[in-house]
Amino acid sequence: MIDPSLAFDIAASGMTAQRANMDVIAQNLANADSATVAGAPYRTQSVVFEPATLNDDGNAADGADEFAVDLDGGAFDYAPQGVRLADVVDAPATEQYRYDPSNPLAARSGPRQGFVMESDVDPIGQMIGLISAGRAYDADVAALQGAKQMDVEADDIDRQ
Amino acid sequence: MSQFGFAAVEQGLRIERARAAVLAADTANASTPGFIAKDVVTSLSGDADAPFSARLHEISAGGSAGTLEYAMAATAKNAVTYRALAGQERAMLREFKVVAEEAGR
Repeated sequence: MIDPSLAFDIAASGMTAQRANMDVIAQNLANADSATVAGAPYRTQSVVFEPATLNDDGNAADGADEFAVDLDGGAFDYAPQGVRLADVVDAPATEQYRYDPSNPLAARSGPRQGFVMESDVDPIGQMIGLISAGRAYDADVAALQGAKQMDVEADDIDRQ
Repeated sequence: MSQFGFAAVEQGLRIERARAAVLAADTANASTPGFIAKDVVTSLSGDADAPFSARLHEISAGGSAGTLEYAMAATAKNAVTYRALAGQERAMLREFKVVAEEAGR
């Protein structure tokens, strides 16, 4: 029998993951105009998600298969999974330069004299990503509200 | 009210509850690389104790946005179905209670 609270935990894991995604996007946008960070240009970061089986407490657990759905006369072998942040990865290195000789971070000599290395953040792409993440977050909220409504209905049956 | 009616409605409630978890997983993993979204379909089993059989099928909704839209629509529909089943269960319990009271007089 499926854990009644599983939909809550799954939706919550999705909300947590999308929140992390929005944090990374906010960091990218904040650094869109950063010339360098510790001597190297800021590189766009992006999140990688992976499915996560959940414990009773809603935390991710490796290899657990305790939530396999088992319905009377209609069992199917599937454990609905939450999601978790697997990694935050840098975009492939691309060198972008802007000529700004008055910038204190500009190269003082060599073929790039007067140029500063810029971040590779694409603000428009990041804004689109932010909207997508917000939409996914809203969808997780809708799933959570649906599960909550089911609990209310089930509780109402109990009162009969 | 027949026992079959209760069995059918209660199994329907369990299936819709399980479907909510499956759809929540689809929503949460819409952006997960390699994740294949799934949904639950039911059919009649012919068994009086468990009138329905449920099985999973993979859905192909066209990427992350399509999966989200599918899951949100299916979640809304699932909630309506669950509410209808819960209402049916309540109505049957009320009827059961009336019959029991009548029998007690």
